[in-house]
Amino acid sequence: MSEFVGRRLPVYLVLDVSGSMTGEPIEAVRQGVKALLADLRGDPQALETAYLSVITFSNGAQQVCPLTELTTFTEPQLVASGSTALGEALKLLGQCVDREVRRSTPTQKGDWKPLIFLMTDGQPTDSWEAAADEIKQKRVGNIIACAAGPHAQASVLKRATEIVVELNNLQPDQLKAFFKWVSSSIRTTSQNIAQPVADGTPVNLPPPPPNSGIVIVP
Amino acid sequence: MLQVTKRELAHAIRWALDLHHDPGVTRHAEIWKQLAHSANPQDRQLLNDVSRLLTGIVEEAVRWRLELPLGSGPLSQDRDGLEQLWMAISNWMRGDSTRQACIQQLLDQAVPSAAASPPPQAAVPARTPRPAAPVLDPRPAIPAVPATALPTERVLPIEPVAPPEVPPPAEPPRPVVAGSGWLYRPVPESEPDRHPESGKIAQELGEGRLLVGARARGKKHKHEATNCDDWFEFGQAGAWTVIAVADGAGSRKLSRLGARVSCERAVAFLTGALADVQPAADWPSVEALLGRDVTGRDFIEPGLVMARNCLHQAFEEAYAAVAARAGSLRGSEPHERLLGRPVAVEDLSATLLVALHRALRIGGVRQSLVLACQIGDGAVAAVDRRANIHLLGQADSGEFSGETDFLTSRRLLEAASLQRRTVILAAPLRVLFVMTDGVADDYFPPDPGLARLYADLVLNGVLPHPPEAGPPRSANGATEIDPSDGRLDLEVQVATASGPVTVRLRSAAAYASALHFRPEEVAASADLLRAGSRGSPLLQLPSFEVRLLQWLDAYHVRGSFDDRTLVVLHCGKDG
Repeated sequence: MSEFVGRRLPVYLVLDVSGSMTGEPIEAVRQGVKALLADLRGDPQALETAYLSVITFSNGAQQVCPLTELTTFTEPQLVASGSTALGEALKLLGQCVDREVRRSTPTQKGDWKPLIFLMTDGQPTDSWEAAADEIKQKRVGNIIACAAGPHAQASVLKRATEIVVELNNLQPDQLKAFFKWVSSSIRTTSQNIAQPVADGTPVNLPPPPPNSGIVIVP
Repeated sequence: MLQVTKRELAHAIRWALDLHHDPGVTRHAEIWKQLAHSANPQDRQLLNDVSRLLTGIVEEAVRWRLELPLGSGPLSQDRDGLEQLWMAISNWMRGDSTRQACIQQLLDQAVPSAAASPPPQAAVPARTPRPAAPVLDPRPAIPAVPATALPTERVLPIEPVAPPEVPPPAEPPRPVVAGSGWLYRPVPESEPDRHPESGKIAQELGEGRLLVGARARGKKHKHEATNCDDWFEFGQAGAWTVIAVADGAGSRKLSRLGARVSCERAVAFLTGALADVQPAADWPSVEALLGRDVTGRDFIEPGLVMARNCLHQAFEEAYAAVAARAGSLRGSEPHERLLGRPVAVEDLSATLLVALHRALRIGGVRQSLVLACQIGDGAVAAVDRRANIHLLGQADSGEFSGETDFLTSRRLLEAASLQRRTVILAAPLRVLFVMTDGVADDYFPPDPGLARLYADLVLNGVLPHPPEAGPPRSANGATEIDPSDGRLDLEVQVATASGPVTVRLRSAAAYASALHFRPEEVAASADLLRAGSRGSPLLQLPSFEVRLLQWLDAYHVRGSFDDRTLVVLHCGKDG
C-alpha cells in the first residue's frame, strides 16, 4: 500500500544538456545514468530507500523525471542543445524539493535529507546569482556540484553550495568515473542513513577514485 | 614419490588455484597433495614464487588505490580490473568491526590513527616487522605466465596480522541471499559479547491474560554481519507485571550490552521493589484512583506514588548497571581493540522503555492500571476495546530522523525529567504494547497506526482474537470476504542461516481495503478480526511467541530494516 512507503532518500540529478554537450559528452552522461541505476539496483539498502529524479537545463529547465522509486524509474531521453540556464535549474530544483520531499510532521515521518548532484560544463547564460544565493539559504539538502571541463567555473558553483568537485574534461572515461562516484556516494549515504547524527553534520562522501580526474575543490 | 613433468605441475597448481580445469582431476589432486606436503626446498620455493606473483596483483590493486606508480604488464593496464579487485578488497576490509579493527592496527604501524595514543606494547604483533615506509623498488612488469626468475627479495604484505592472544577469525560462512539482494550473515565468532540472534517468550498471567515478547535481528544487521542491538525482559511481582525494552544506539559498537544490562537490572529491581507496593484492589472510580493532591501535581494514593517512585528508581538502577558494565570492561583487550580506546559509558548508549501493569477493579469492572516511562524512541501504548490508542510516552527525536536520546544522557534522569516522562493510565484495555522504533516507525503515527498493528497481530494468529467475537457480518454493501483461501496473503522472503525462506503473512491494510473499511475499524470489530484470522498461514506455528518472532522477522515495509522488538500484554476478556 502506497501510504506506508517509509522514509525515502530523495536523490536529484541536475544535468547540463547545453549545446556544448553534443556528441560524446551527452552519450557518456546517458551511459553514466544507466550505470548509476544498475549500481543502485544491485544494493538492497539503496533499492529500498533511494528515489531518483532528473532535472535537465539548457535554454530553460525541465524536470524530465519526477522523484521515482528505483524499480519503476525509466532513464530519461537526453538531447543536447541550447544555452546554460543555471539560474532556472536552481529555481526549479527548489520548487521540486518543496513539492516532492516530505518534511517531518507529528503525523508523518519525513524523508531523509536529500542528495543533489549538479553537473555543468560551462558558464551560466542566465542571471543565476540570486537563484544560487537562494538555494544555499534554503537548505534543500546536500548539494554536490560538479564543474566539468575547462569552461566550467567552480567559483560559480561555490555560490550555491560548499561541496564542489572539478572534472578535468568531458571524456567518456571521466564522466563514467564521475557517475560511479555519484553512485558510491548514494550507496554510502543509504547505508549510514539510520545512524544518529547531529543536524548540520556535513554529508559523508566516499573519496573519488584515484586518477579519475575528480578533484574536490577546497 | 611421483614423477611429474613441468606441465603436469603447472596444471596441478592451476587446479589448486581453481583456475580453468585441465582434464585429469585425480592426477592433479595427487600431484598437488605431494607438492603441498613436500619438504623439498625447490618445491617450497615454487609455491612461494606462485604466492608472491599472485599477491603482486593484489598489491597492484592497492597501489592503484593509493595512486602509486604501477607496473606495465597487461594486468596493471586493466584499470577496470584493478578497480574491481580493489572494490572486493575494500568490501572485505569493511566486513565487520573486528576485521576493521585488525586492519586499523595494521595501518597504525605506518601512521598511527589520530585517536590512538602510542599503542600499548601488547598490541605489537609477534611476526617479523615490515618496514614502516614502503620501499619503492623499480617494479618488474607482472608477467602473463609464471616466470622462473624472481624479482629482488622484498617483504610483501600477506594476510592481516591478528594479535597473538586471539585466534584468527574463523572462515565466515557464505552469505546467503534473500529477495532483492539482502544477505544473511551471522555475527563473526571473534566478535566479543555476541548477542543471541533473537529471543522469544510467552507467559500466561492468569485470569486470561497473556504476555508475549520477541526480538528479531534486523535486515541491515543480517546484511552487515553485525549484532542485534535490541533487548527485552519481563517479570512478575505479585499482581504487577514489569516490562522493559531497549534499543542500543546504532553508531555505538557495544550498545547492545547497554540495552541488555539496563533491561535486566530494571526488571530485577522492580520485581523486588514492587512486591510490597499494593494499591487497593477496588476503586469506585478512575478519579478516585488517580486523585491528585491539592497542588494538582502529585498523586494521593500512596500505592500509586510508591509505584511511580519505584519506576524512577529503576531508571537510576539501570544507569548504574550500565556504568558498572562499562567499568568492568576497562582493560579488556578485545573490547579496547574493537573501539581503539578504553570503553566509556557512552559506548553502551541505549534507549529504555519500562511499563508496569496490574489489574484493578474500578466501579466493579476489571480494568488495567499502567505506569510507563520512556527515554529515547520506540513506543509504549495501550489499545482499548474500541481500538482507541492511549499513547503512554513521547518518543525523543531530533529535527532529523535518527536523532534520539539515551539512558546514558544523565541529565534525563533528573527527577523533573523522569516525572515529565511518566504516564499513568487506568482503563479497560485490549492490549499493552512496548516496542522499539523498528516496529513503531512502521506504524506511525501511533494513532491510529497501533490499531492497525493490533489487527495485524490478530490476523496473523500472533494474538488470540477477541473472545466476544460472533459470526462474521458483512460490511456496508461489501460481500463477505473469506480470507482462508489465501487471496489476501502476501509472500515475503526472509534471509535466514539456512537460506532464503518464503513466509506468507496476512495484512490488516489489505484485508481492511478489501472490505472497504479502514484498518482501525477492523481493529475495533471482534467479528472481522475473527473472520480475518481464519486459515492464517502462521497458525501452523505451535505457539504465540514463535508466531510473533516469525512475524517480526518477516513482515516487509519498504525502507524498514532495523531490529524489531515487541512485547504485548494481552488483557483477554476483561481488560
